[in-house]
Amino acid sequence: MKISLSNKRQIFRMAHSFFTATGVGFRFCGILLPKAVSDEEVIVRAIFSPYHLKSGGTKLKRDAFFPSPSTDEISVMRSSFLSSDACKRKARELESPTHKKEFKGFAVLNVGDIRGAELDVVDSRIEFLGHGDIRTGVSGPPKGTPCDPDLRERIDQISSSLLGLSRFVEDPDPSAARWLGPGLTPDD
Amino acid sequence: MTVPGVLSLSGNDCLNVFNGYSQRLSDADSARGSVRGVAGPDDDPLWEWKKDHYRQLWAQFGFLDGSLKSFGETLVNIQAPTSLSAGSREETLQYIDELGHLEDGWDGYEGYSPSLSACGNARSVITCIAAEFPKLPSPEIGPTTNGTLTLAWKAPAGNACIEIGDSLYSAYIRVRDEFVPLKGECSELGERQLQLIWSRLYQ
Repeated sequence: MKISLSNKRQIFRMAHSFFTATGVGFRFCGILLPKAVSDEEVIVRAIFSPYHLKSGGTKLKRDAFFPSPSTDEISVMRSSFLSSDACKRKARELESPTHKKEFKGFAVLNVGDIRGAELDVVDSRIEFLGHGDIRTGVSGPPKGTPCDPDLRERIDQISSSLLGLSRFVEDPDPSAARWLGPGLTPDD
Repeated sequence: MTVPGVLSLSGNDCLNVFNGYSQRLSDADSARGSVRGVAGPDDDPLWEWKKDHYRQLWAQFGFLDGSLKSFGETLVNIQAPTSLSAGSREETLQYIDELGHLEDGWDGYEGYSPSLSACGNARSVITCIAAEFPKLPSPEIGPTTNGTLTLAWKAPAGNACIEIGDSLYSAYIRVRDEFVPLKGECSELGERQLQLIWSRLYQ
């Protein structure tokens, strides 16, 4: 019997919120989250000011989609499974307002669109349950070293293409513990 | 960071601009551009036609903080970069200094902070632009996750990027099918490379 994505999501979310609240049986929760990321899934990338946003603060820069150093991985969260609140909780763990690194919202993307651009999305639950990576297939050089020109152009093209595929959903109240913004969907 | 100027176009100007850019627009990758949050008037018979042009204009200028605004008296509002005036040069240098104080993880993830030597190298390039290429538009400057800085230009003719590291630089100029790669020691980075960018993109 094939279980639809929305049913899988409902089951996972119920288990996830129960196990998050009680702190037990988290391993079991992982069984409910499929390791294969399907084309229908929606993923989000947490956006921080100021370096992910243009000067007005409402538009994304392509820099928001630069891979982690020396890897081809761009961290995302599987928001088809994690709730918006859970995504925000995780995002806020990464912010540091004292260092002017504030959570501002999410870039929302559809997995099928990303694969259409010849990139991939994989589960990487070793970080935390619900974490994923966009894999670009292009790794950067070591710290402090510029990329070769053709590699630089390729990375810029990939970042621009992810920018074109994404929708920025601004958090109307970043200080609130819960997500109070609109639904995290790739379409307006 | 760009230092934008604003070009506001009225309805007729807009059509002229479309015609003026028609050759370039036909080459633009319109599929990559998308107009978000812009609704067309239901009773405008030319809306589909206009929307297509707006998309292409967006693809062409979106990188420049470009914004498509109201569809009333002002049809299109494009923000284009200006050259480095004395004031904006100071502002740009200050911004580079600010980047020199970033800490690892500045991007919210695992990004390395740019080193002071990378920032010093970027300052030299900006000083060279201001002194030798006053008409060259201000580049968009940003840190990368591997601790380097990029200076990027996008023009209707093409785009260019210089990536500056601790001691090495790399650069490319892309004009349609032509790709010009450059790399070397930061100490060699200056007039020659900027002249190439100026001539390929803006002359």
